[in-house]
Amino acid sequence: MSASSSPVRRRPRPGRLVASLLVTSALLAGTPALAETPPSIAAATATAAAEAATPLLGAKSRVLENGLTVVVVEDHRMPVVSHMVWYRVGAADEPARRSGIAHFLEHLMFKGTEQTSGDEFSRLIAENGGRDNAFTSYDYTAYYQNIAADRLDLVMRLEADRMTGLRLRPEDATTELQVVIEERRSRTDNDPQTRFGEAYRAMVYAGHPYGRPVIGWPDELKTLDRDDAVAFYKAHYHPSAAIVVVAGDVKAEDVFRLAAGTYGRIPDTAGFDEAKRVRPAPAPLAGDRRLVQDAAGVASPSWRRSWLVPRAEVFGRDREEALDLMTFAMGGSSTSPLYRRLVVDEGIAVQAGAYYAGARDEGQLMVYAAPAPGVSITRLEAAVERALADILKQGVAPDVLERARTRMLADAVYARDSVSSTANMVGAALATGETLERIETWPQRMAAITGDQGMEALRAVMGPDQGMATGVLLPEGLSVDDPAPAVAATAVTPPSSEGTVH
Amino acid sequence: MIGTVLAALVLLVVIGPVPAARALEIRTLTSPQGIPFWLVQVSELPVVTVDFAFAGGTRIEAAAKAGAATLASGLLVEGAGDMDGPAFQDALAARAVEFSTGVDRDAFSGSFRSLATEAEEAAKLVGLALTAPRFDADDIERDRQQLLVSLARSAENPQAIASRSLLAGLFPTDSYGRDTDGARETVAALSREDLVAYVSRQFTRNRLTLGIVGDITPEAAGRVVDLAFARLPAGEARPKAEPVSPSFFGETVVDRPIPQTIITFALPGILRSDPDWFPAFVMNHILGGGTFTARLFREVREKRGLAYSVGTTLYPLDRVGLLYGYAATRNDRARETVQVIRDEIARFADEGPTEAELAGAKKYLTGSFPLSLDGSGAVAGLLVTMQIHHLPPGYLDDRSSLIEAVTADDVKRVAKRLLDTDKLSVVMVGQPADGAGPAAPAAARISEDGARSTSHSSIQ
Repeated sequence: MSASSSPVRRRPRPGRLVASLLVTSALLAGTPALAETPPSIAAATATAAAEAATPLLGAKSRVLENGLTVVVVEDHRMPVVSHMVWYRVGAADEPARRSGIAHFLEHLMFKGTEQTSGDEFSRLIAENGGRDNAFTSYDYTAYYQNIAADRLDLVMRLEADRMTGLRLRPEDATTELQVVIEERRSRTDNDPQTRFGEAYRAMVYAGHPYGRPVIGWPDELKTLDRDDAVAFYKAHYHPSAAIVVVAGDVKAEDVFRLAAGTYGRIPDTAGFDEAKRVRPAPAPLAGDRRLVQDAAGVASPSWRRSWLVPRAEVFGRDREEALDLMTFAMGGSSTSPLYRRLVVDEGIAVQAGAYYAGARDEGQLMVYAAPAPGVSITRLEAAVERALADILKQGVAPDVLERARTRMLADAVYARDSVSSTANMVGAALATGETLERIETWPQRMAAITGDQGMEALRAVMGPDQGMATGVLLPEGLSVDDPAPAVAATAVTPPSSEGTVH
Repeated sequence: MIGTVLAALVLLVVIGPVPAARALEIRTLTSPQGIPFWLVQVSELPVVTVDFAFAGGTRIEAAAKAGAATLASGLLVEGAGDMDGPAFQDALAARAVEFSTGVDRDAFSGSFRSLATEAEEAAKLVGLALTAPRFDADDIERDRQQLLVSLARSAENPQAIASRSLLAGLFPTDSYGRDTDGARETVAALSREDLVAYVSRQFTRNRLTLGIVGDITPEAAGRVVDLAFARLPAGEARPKAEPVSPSFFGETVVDRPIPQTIITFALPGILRSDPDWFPAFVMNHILGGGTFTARLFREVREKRGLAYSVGTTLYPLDRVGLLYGYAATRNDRARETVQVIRDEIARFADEGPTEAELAGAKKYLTGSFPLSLDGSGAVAGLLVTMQIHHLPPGYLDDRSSLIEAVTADDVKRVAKRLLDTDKLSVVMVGQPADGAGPAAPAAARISEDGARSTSHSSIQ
C-alpha cells in the first residue's frame, strides 16, 4: 500500500536476500580459501563477525494445525516488535492478462472487513502507536506492523481477521485503482530509467512472469476490477500459504500462544502446496538478445548485461551461495576488480559493478556500467567484456575474496541491529524457498566457500557458452557509437531488478 | 471461530495509552582530550555506531563556491595521509567499516559503524580522512565529473526540479535557496584550494556534535572519540543563526512533457526552539503527517484517488521553519488536487482539529516514538539531533507529557498562525491542464533538497 511513508531501510547489499541480509559468520579455521594466503586483516574481521553472530538468529518456529508457519526472533533491546505476514503469492502467480492484480489486492487489503470497516484498520494501528504498510514482489506479498511489544495481540488479530475476512465495496476498488495508476505514473511512467528497466526485464525473462512489472502493464492495469481482486484473494490467501514472522521484545512461547488463538482459528480450505506453484520457464537466452533505446529525459548513457541463473533446485543451493559471494567479490563495491579496472585504472567508465538477484525461480546475474565522457557504448562494452574474460580466466585475488566475505558476514551482524530488518530478512528467505535451518547455518557455509567453488559457479552462469541479454539506454538522439556527453557519465544508480512495489 | 476473534477485536479499540518507551540510558561524557559526547551502551550486539555533525554545511559556502561541501564530502574516502583512494577503501573494507558523510543546509554530518572489535581502527581511519584528506588532482576531476553528471540528472528529474524550484523561490538570495550540490558553473570552477579552505573551516572541534551507541565502555568510547576527532583544530565559534524570511511566491509551473504533475508546496513553519513546537507537530500530523489517517491523505487519495502520495512535514532549518508538502497526480487533475489541498488547509485554519483527531494524534505520536529507535544507527542519530537542538538527556522521559499537554486551542492557535493560504507557495512540474480554480500540486516524495535526509533532522 504505502503512502508517503515507505519504510526507511538500509539498502541491502545487492544479491539474494537470503545470503545478503541473513548472514554472518564463520568458522574460518582451515578453510581452503584462507590456506592460500597468510591471515589478513579481512580474514581476522570475518572471524570476529562470525563469532559475533553465532547463532545467526536463534529463531524459533512452529507450524500450526492449519498449516500456517510462525517464526519468532527474540530481541529485547527495545520494547518494540515487528510483525509481518508473508503470503507465498506474488506478481509471478497472476492469471494471464491480469498483471498488477497481486499489488492491487495488496492496496485493497486496507479497505476493511466486517469487523473493521474502512480505514479502521490503519486508524487502530496508528492510535496504538504503530506503523503499518505492505509490499508486493514476484514471489510474495507481505503486510507488516511495527508497534509496541505489548500490542502484538492487536495486530495479530487484525491480520488474522483480514486473512479471509476482507469485505470490498465496489467504490473502494474503483477509487483505489486510480491511486495505483498514479503510483505507476510516479514510479514508472515519469521516469525513463524505470521504463527502460521494465522493458529490459521483459526481454531477459521472456516467457516467465518475472518479465512483467509487479505494478502491472499499463493497458492491463487499467482494466483490473473488484472481481479480479476477490478471485485472486480467495485463491491465494489462506493460513497454509502464510508465514508469520515476529521479531522483537517478545517470548516465543507467548507468540505461539497468541498465534494459535488468532491465526490458528482460521480453517485452511486450500492446502497450499509450494510444489504446485509452477510457472512457465523463461525462454533460453540465445543469440544477441539486445534492447537499445534512446529517450528524452535521459541525461547519460548506461549499459547492462544479464545472465539467467537456473532455479536453486537445479543449480544447487550451496552453489548459488558460492555464486553470490563471487559476484559480490567481482563487482559488489567500489573496491571490487570490475570498478577498479574500468573506473579507476582505465578511466573508461564512471560506474561499473555486478550483482546477483536470486528468486524462487530463475535468478539473474547482472553486470552494469556507464561510460566516461567521450567514451562510446561500443567501446565501453568491449572493455567490460575484456575485464570479464580476464576474471573468468584468472579468478579474483585472495584478498578481494576475503574482503567480500568479510563484508557479507558483517552485513549480517548489522542487519540484526534492527528488528524490522531482521523480520524482513527471515520472511523474504522463507518465502523464496529457503529453510530456517539453512538460514541459521549460513555463516558456516559462507566461511567455507573457496575461491575455486566461487569461480566454478560464476563460469557455469556467465561462461562463454552461456546465453545473455544486453541493454543500452541512451540520451535522446545518441547512438551506441557516439561518445558519451561530457556531462553524462557518473553516479549512475545501479539498475535494480528486485521489483518490489509498495 | 472467526466470530470469537472478531469479538475480541472490538475490545481492543478501547485499549489504554501506550506505555512510555523503556528509557534509554544516555551518558553525557567527555573524552580524555576534552571532547564532549553522548553514549548509549548496549551490549546485545557487538557493533559500535558513531554519528557526528559539524555545524555549517552549505551555509558556510560562499555562493561562488557552491558545491565545495558536497565535493569534499565525496572525496573523503578517496585517500588520506599515506593512503591513496583504493588503499583507503581497502582498509575500510578489510575491517567491514561503514563510513558515510553528507551535507545539508545547516551541517556536515557523518556516521561510521564497525564491529566492536574494530571500533578503534575505524576511528583512526575516519580521523585520518578528516584531518589529512589528500584531494589528489585525478580524484578531484573524477568526482567533479560525477557531481556534474548528478547535477545534470537532477536537472531532468521532476521531483528534484519541484523541490529545488520551491526552495529557490522561497529563498532567492540565501544559501537555503541553493541546491546543496551546488550549480554547474560553480562546481566546474572549484579548485583544490577551495576544498581545503572549506574543510579547514568546517572540521573543527567547536562545531562538532557526537553520539555513540553500541557495545563499548565509556573508556573505550573516549579513546574512539579522541582517535577520530582530537587532532582537529578548535576553530572559530559556531556561526550565529540569523533568521531569514521566506519570500512566499504564489504558484509556479515548470513545464515538462511528463504524464504526471509533481507538486511541492510550502507554508510558514516553525523553529525547533519555538514554544509552539509541539502544537505545530500535532497539527502537522493531523493535516498531512505520514500516516494513512491524515486529512490530506484521506481527502486526496482515499476519497478521490487523485494521488499515490500526498502529505506534509515540518521542516525546521536553523534559521527558519517551513511546512513542506508534496503530491503527484495526472496532469488533467493537478489543479483540482491543489485546490483540494488548499481547501483542507483553509478548513483546518478555520476549524482546528476535532477532539477525536487530537486524541488520535497524541496516541500515535507518543506511542510510535520507540519505533524510531529501531537500530543503533537510529539511536546515534537521535543523540546528535538532541544535542543540536539543545534538548537535555531527560527529554526522552518528558516527550510524552509535552505532547499530552497540547490542547485543541493550542493546535488551533498555531494553525491560525501557520496555515495562511495567502502564503501558500506551490510549484507544479509537468503539464497541469488549465482548469478552473487556483492551481494546486500533487505529489512527490520529499527529495534531499526539500527536506534534510539525515536522521539528524527528524527529531520530533
